[in-house]
Amino acid sequence: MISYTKNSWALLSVLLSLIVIIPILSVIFFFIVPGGDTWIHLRETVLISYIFNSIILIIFVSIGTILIGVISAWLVTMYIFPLKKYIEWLLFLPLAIPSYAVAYVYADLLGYGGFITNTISLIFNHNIKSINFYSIYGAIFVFIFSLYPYVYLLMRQAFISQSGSYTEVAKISGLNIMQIIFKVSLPLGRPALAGGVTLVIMETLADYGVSDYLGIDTFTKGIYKAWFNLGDIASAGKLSAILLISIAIIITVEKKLRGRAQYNNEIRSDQKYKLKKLNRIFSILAVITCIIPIVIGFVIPFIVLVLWSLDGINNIYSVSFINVALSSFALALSASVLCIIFALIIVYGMRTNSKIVTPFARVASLGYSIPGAVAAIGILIPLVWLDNFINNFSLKYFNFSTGLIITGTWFALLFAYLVRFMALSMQSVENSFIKISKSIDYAAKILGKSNRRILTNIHLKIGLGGISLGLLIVFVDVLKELPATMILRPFGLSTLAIKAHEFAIDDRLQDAAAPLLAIILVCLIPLYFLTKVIRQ
Amino acid sequence: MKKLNIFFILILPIFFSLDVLAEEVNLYSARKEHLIKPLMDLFEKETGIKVNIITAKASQLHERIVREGNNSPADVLLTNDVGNLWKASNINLFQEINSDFLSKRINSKYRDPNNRWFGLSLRARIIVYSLNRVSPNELKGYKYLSDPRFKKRILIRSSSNIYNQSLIAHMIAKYGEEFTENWAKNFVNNFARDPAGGDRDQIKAVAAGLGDIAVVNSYYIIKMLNSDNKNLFNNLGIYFPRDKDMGVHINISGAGLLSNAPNPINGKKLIEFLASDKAQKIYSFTNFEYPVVKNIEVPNTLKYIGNFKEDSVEISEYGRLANKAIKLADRVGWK
Repeated sequence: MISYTKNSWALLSVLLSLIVIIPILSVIFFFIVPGGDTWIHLRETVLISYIFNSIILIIFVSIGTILIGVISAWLVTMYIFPLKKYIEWLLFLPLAIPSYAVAYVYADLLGYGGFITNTISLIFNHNIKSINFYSIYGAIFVFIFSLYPYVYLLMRQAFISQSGSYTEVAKISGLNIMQIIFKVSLPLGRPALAGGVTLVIMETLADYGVSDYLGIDTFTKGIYKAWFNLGDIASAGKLSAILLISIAIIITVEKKLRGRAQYNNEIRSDQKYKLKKLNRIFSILAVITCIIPIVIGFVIPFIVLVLWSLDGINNIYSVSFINVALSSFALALSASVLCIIFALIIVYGMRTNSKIVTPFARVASLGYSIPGAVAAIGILIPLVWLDNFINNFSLKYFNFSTGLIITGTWFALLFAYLVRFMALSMQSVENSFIKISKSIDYAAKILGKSNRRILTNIHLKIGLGGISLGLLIVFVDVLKELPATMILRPFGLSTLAIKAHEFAIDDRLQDAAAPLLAIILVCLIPLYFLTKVIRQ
Repeated sequence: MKKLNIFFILILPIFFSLDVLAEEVNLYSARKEHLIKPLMDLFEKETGIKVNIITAKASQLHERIVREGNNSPADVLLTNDVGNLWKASNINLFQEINSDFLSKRINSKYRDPNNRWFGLSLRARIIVYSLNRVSPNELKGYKYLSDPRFKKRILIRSSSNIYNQSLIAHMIAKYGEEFTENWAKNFVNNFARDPAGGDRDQIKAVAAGLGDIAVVNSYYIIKMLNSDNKNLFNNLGIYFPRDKDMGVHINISGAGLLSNAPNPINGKKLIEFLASDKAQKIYSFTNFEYPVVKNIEVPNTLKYIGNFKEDSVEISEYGRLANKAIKLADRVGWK
């Protein structure tokens, strides 16, 4: 009986993973389509430099996000200092501004007639007309300050749930603070760190908007060029496969290096870290350290957006604007709930039957590194196939054509978000389950509880903080999502991200500002609930 | 039996919805929604036909239509360049439109020889230069932009943009691939910086002194000269490239009716509407493009810089040679 339920749960997990995997595979499998000489052309001309740029990007963005994310997470979980209550949550907010918008803001501030260039000219009495932001340095800057919250959030969650006993033991053993960080807390938080950085890397690689605007040729640009410019699907499939395999290798190598170490809290005690109160000088240092990323990643772009939106206020936003905001909210909410449900089932499946479920689960999370537009086409393929199947069936038996009843609906969009953002929800859920000792599972099993009961009664409750974090991250990412939403959306549906983008590329930044601000406001809703959940 | 009943109840709404939705047209538009919306509102008002719009990049809409196949709901595809229209008609996505109205109003050089797509507005790829650092007699046709005298002075966006691809394709049609490749090599050597940003960013960079010459689409500079910031750009001049071989590179925005259009009659009506006097006027007044139909009233700024010698190459060549152009740009290192 036990083995039956165990297997049926594993089967369900594999099935759900497969649903997410199909579109990923349908992109890759294009490389069996004959032809595809674009691949050779790209290899002989530009591919090397695309790969080089992508590698430089991910190396520096990883380093930057690790530094900011880990240090700020450490400070806010270990110490008491002024303003901490606010800083803790403000550190999250850069995530609410799409990275391409951050690029627009800084390019404008540093560009001709921009605020920063004008100020510098004024202060140094030297006529600087513009500072070149259109470079790989600009891109690294944008990605670091808009993506570090992934590392911060996951690390913070990890530090919070580490039992205080570990540090106590370390202190008694005479370790100093640096030793505690590097020998105890960081190694314990390694799965979270790896998870956060993986998300950062995947998002950086999947980006098109920022690098296109700043003129950085990345690997993703190669895929776009092959598919959308040269119409060579086979080559685009090959390139996508290379991208996914590289990501898979990075993840696997990291997991292998981690070895057999277990990261769950065998020592469960209610003892939390004893928060240390910082003296005045260190308080100031801590505040400054935490405030810098907030100012660069959020406050400056936010102020600029507010100023722009004041300029654009004469273009009155009507009912349609509220409709757009509402549909964005509804999409983000339903997608994040769906992603979390899938993640809960799959990650729990990995716990009960690791060997079978894990490989499927890992592949299912690769969708996050596929550029949105490419993923969108990958999703269309199985959906249209299904639609045609239904259509033919209906024609045959009812002599009636249904047309495409799934493609171009909300369902298609939700499916797209599921494929794109599974990594986000799985990472958060995994991160919160890893802390739950397996002995709890065994104890519950012996007491005769079913898998479903164990998941809802135990794991859901213990891991609530991490799970709601996952909800929040997916929610925010869906709100910002652009290419897949644009390509797959039904008639008449628009989102805040699409509105902002269409105005921004038309250089109407004043008009783009209002929808961007609305995205931030909408993000505050789940953030508010998350703070309540985590405080408990 | 019970199950069958439930099935019919579930299916029923589909029948109804199909009946109700008779008078509509589905538009896949590469033109941004805020630009196309005023035109569509007017069309709805005049005809009572509801327009359903989705917008995205032309190449991505193209891909969606291909994937959706025979059952695609799309009636009309609207693009911002001839390249994507050619690409669509080349794989038979478009059907022929027999319309005396369109044939009469739109010059044959701005539409497909088989009437599968029609140009609806014109834009010229022109030179914007610094009045302080460039003397007008330095400027000639596109061909001369490869001259070493322009070293580190030229600003232009990435070759991944279709406007540049069309320009390169045009040069290939005019001078052949070998000549164009050589030309492009030297042209790239003259860049003031690695290509980045859009056409407006190139204009701003000239104004800021990062370079002397920007190659951009006409409506961008005209829009900027009509904006609140126009005093930032009063040191800029406009030049329509021409020499004895080649006139100005003109591209179109245009539309085609899809082969599998579920509402072909309404789709045809929509395209005809976009070529009407009213719609043409909106094109030129809101986006500062040149009307494709003759004798349409245009804004003063457009009149002022509206006289130019257009080149003779068929615009469909831009589409036919697009892939060659993209690869050529990669070979010469035009980012």
